[in-house]
Amino acid sequence: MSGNSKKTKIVNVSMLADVVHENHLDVASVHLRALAHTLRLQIIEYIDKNPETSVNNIYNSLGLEQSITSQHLRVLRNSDLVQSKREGKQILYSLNYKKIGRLNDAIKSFLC
Amino acid sequence: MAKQQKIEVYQLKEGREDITIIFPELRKMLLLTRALEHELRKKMVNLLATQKKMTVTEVYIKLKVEQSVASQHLAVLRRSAVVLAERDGKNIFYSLNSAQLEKIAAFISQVAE
Repeated sequence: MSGNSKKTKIVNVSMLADVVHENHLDVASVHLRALAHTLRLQIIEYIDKNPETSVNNIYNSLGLEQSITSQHLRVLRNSDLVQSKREGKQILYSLNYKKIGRLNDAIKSFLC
Repeated sequence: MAKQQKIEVYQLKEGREDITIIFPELRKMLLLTRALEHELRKKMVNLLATQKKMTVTEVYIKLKVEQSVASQHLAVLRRSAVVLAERDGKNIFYSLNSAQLEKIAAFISQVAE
């Protein structure tokens, strides 16, 4: 046996992991980051008023560059706040009201 | 004339229910979530969970980081109320605010599920 005289104290290092699931933290953060952005919220508002709209409609109406619009739509799609479907050559965007609503409800119930 | 700050509100009306998104609330929740999204801060929470209260000195020695680094991250946890600070004479003692941590945990699982 080695002369390991150093007493190592075992502490509960997983306390936080017990309370906050690591995956959940990542998912919640991705959702919040995606939504907490004024330009993306403007895009969301536009899609709400114009369901099943195209990237062209969005950037023309909001006066944005196509590349910037596409980039933000990608963030919104990756976080599942916006859904897309292909129709012929076009990709049409609509809101995932369930996801956005759930996030917003969670915020309201935290802050109330 | 008092300067009024405009609060950004976004209204979604075409879903099953109207959704009113208030930007400052989103920012607040983002800051709270971000407070826990950091390896050192996670270690701090875990460390404080094992002790009733600690000084910044005890924290930085235990976690083997510089005092300025420990202070900076304790401040982030304080701002999100995950950690409470109380002055006792010359010392400031830090402790875990379990109630707030559980509230944030509930929020996170509600969003993620």
